[in-house]
Amino acid sequence: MVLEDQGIFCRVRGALELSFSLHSKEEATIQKAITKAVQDVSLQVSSEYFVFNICGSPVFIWPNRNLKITPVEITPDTPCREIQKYIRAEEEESDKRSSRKKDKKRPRDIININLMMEISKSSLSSVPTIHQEHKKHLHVEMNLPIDVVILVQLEQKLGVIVEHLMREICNQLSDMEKSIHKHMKETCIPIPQPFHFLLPEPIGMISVIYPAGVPDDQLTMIRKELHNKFHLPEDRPYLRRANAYHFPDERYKDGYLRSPHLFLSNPNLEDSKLYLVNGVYSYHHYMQDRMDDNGWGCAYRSLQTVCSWFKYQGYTEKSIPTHKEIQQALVDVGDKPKSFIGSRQWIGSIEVQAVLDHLLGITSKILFVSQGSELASKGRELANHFSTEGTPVMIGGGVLAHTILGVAWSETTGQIKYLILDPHYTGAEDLNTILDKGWCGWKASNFWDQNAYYNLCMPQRPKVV
Amino acid sequence: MGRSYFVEESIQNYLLSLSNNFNQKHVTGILIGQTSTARDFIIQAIQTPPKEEPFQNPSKKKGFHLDETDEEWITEHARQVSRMLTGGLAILGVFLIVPPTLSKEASNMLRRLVFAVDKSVTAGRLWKLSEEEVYDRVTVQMCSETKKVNCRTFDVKDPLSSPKPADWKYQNGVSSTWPLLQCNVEVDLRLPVIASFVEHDLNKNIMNGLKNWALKMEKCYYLINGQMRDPDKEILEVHKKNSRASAHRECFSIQLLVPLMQDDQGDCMAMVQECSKNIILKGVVHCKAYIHSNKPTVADAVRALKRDLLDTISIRYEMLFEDVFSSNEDERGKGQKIDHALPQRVFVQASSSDILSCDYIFRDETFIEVKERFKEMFDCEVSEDKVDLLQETVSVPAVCPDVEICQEHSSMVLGKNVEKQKTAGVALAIGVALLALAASFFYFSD
Repeated sequence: MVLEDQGIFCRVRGALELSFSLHSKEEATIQKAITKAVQDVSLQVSSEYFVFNICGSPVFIWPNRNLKITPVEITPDTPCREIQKYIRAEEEESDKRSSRKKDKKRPRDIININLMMEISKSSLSSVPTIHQEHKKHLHVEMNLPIDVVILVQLEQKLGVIVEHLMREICNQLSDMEKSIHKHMKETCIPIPQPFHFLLPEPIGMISVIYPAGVPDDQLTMIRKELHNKFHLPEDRPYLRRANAYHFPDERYKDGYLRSPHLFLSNPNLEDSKLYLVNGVYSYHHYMQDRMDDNGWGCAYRSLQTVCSWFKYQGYTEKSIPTHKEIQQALVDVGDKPKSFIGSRQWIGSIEVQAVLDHLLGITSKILFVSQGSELASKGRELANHFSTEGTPVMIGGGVLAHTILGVAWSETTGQIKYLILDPHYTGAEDLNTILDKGWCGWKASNFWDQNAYYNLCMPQRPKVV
Repeated sequence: MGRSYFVEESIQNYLLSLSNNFNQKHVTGILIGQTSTARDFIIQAIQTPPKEEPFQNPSKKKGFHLDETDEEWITEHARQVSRMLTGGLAILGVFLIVPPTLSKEASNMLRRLVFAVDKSVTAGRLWKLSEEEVYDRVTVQMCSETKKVNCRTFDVKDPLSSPKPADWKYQNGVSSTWPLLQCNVEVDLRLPVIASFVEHDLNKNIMNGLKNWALKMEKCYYLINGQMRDPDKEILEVHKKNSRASAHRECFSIQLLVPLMQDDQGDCMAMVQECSKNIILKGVVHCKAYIHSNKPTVADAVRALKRDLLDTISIRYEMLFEDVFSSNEDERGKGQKIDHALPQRVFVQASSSDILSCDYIFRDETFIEVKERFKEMFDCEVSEDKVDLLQETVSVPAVCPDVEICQEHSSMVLGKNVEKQKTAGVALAIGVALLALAASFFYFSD
């Protein structure tokens, strides 16, 4: 990534409460009430009691109180680099991996900031009052989930960063207001949710507001406009919710490892080029999900990895199918009898193709080789697949099933290495073991059973945004 | 081993003088102080004010026992006094002075009283003691002739707990070095009243709102003298402790910050509720808390201050509830906007130490009423220079857009309150009468 050395992300999050009373359900009244309520929120944001707290640090900043900062050693002129020293060291676990990441893509550092509201006042107290209004009305309440990200330089002064963040918060607030006005129907007011997308250079990080609860396929128009605006290709999703940037400090809650091959070093193969899977997938293998499929589930797992790719690239909002759902799908398409469900029978590439089609509407090309030794000559086909489709390839046939994540191929010599993700792994989600023992790794042509036949299921990307 | 009580020396004289001017069968009273894990402190003892007609029942004078009205009287006194304490201070127990002939019965009485008093002072609170805090409350029995003191504790968590002997030691200036924490806090509570709630649930509706607010306050971040401090460290920093030549009270100014947390509740839509009315509680209150000097942590100290904040709101709301939200008011209030000023908090030095107590006064009340209440509740004379009326200022409410109506209504409503509070004795009497009612709605609200 070109951005790598250009700075770090600074991310501000906080929920701003938007609440108002309605005395009529007229569209115009509601619109007006919302505008007024957003103004009230803006007043809060610009009040001197609005506070930034740099997460994991004792640093508090009052952006609207002449940039007052505590502790006092920090001033608006303090460079960002200094601020990082106040942030408590991250948890041990992320350090464990860092040795591997050193020469690879190290996750970008990030400064997280939480929003707070100071409720203590330096002025005199004034006796509280209780105000009662007796009138039937609708009380409307929601939290606006402010989430602003900017890229900052390590040498940049804190004061400049804070001012930039404040501008972005105000912009986001007004974007949220627009989103509310656009998507509300009577008193059904979807919460505006910001998503961040890291787009190809030179665009970089952008934020888009989507109305909560409205599925991606109903937002195609909005995405098309944005693709247009940012000159993005119109044949693949960039701005679906699933495409949202995953911040390095956020854990995946489901426990599956993501894209373990990113932590491998490249194979030594003279004159070769790399052709790799394009995007994020999760590693599925034996014994996950409290499912003992040791000995029969490898193709199911490979299929899950393929499905995960389509999910994380935003092509589908469906969850990754379980063994049972895969078997049900095969029964539904008439490929298998009912007794197949709950059985421990193997499936192959053709079944994987059928399930992808049935569950996700994805078509796949099948590449057949009658002998494993022939795979060595399929470099061009595979290289082509990864450069145009970029999807993980499931390979099965006479013997074991695997997932091919890419090839290193030399057009001149025809030499080839395969990046293999092995679903037969039965251990825990330990990246080091998986990489060191070759469960995810580069293999030479002798990896394949030279005499067995193979079918490669090569899923095709749908042309959508 | 039992608990140790470090007792302000002047209390010894107070109890002695009570036992010397002994013309009744017995003298009861409450003990004010603060607990800490290792030891407890008592800084003030106050005798129960004498009951006046028509509550005194001459027919019950024979023999010794505290009848129900006595118990109500004592617990109501405790409840009123507990409202007049600043943060960190609490009613930790009761004392009873009796002649030697009655000493046996006395211990039973004390047991009953210590539980009744604790129940009465904790009812209606927006907070609860945490597990690791001290639940032992003390009973002190003094013999009017030998002046011997018998000090025992009860675990009020356990209604069947048996008394444990405790140490009762007098000491000079028990509280003279207790750090003081202070803060002005803005309260801005919006409590929409859901239309489906029937009228008598109104209090429940509001109490729920207050409880949610209390939870939010508990989660507040805080700065101490402008700095974030480790909650587990002692609030008095070591280097400062050593450099202190003479003992003095350190003051800390606290800032409270509400984190604007994103809730992961997965809501997609704005919440829309049909409401019958809107209640807004808004203002800035002054909070004070004292923390004992037995190695208190930052977290201990701030907890005391936060509890003072919760109390000063719930107490004032309670004081207003009867008048503001009674159904008659509602009838008149249909379709209208009404403003009520909550009573103003004033701070009073009402003990030999300079630990401040407080009082709540309505708009028409002055120093005179404060003085009378302290005479009755605290058994002490308060001179004008010991009353600080200026920590909270009274201003025209800013929330009400319709100022004219507001003022008319508020003065009218307040007028009624003032009358009720005119003489402190009457107030206490009414308090007792209302106690049953008050207690019942707190049961409801649970």
